[in-house]
Amino acid sequence: MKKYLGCLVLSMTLFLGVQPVFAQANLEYQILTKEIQSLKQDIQELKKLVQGIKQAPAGGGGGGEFKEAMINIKGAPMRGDKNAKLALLEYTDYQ
Amino acid sequence: MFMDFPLDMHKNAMKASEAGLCAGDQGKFWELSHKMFDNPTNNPTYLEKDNIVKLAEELGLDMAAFKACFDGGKYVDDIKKRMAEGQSKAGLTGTPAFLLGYIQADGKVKATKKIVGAGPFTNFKTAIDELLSKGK
Repeated sequence: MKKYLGCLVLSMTLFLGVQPVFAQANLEYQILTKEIQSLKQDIQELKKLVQGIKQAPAGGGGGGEFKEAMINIKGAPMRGDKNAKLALLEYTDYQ
Repeated sequence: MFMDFPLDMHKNAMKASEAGLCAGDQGKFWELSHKMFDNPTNNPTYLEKDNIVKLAEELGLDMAAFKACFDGGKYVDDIKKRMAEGQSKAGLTGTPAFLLGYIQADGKVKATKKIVGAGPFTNFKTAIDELLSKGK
């Protein structure tokens, strides 16, 4: 009888002693799960950002589809050879 | 080519654009333009009207002619037209943005490439090489 009682006491002691450890592990697991979910969301947002940068190489606005436009350059300050084949038009402002 | 595109969110941008073109009347567009971009201390009042006039004075401009142009809004319509064309024909909404194209006999540019933002040199080189390899 004493032997059984001893075993029971030992089991209870172990059970009660281990319980906070499980609770701690469970808490840590929940925190880690949340952090992983947050990281996954961050990765998704970064993927979207990279995709946007690929479509509009360096930020700014108006990076959509463009085919062709005839632009009047009369009066625009210029540099370079007036007889050049190509012209690079820089749309900019002072800030 | 320098295409003024003063955004509403930049409160002094329109007057600065006007100032640049007014200085251009006296052959000093690039000089004033460089001065207006060169704000090393990021002074928020740097492009306010009084300081722009001061920058113009430093260039030795004929200030009576400059002020007549600047205060009279000589280039406001031109700037607005240029902006409207960039917006309507090329969908431009921000700065900097670039159009690359072929200069036509009538002085216009047939733009066939658009580069948005201050991208790396390779973006421009690739676009220029591609257009140079094609016809007009």
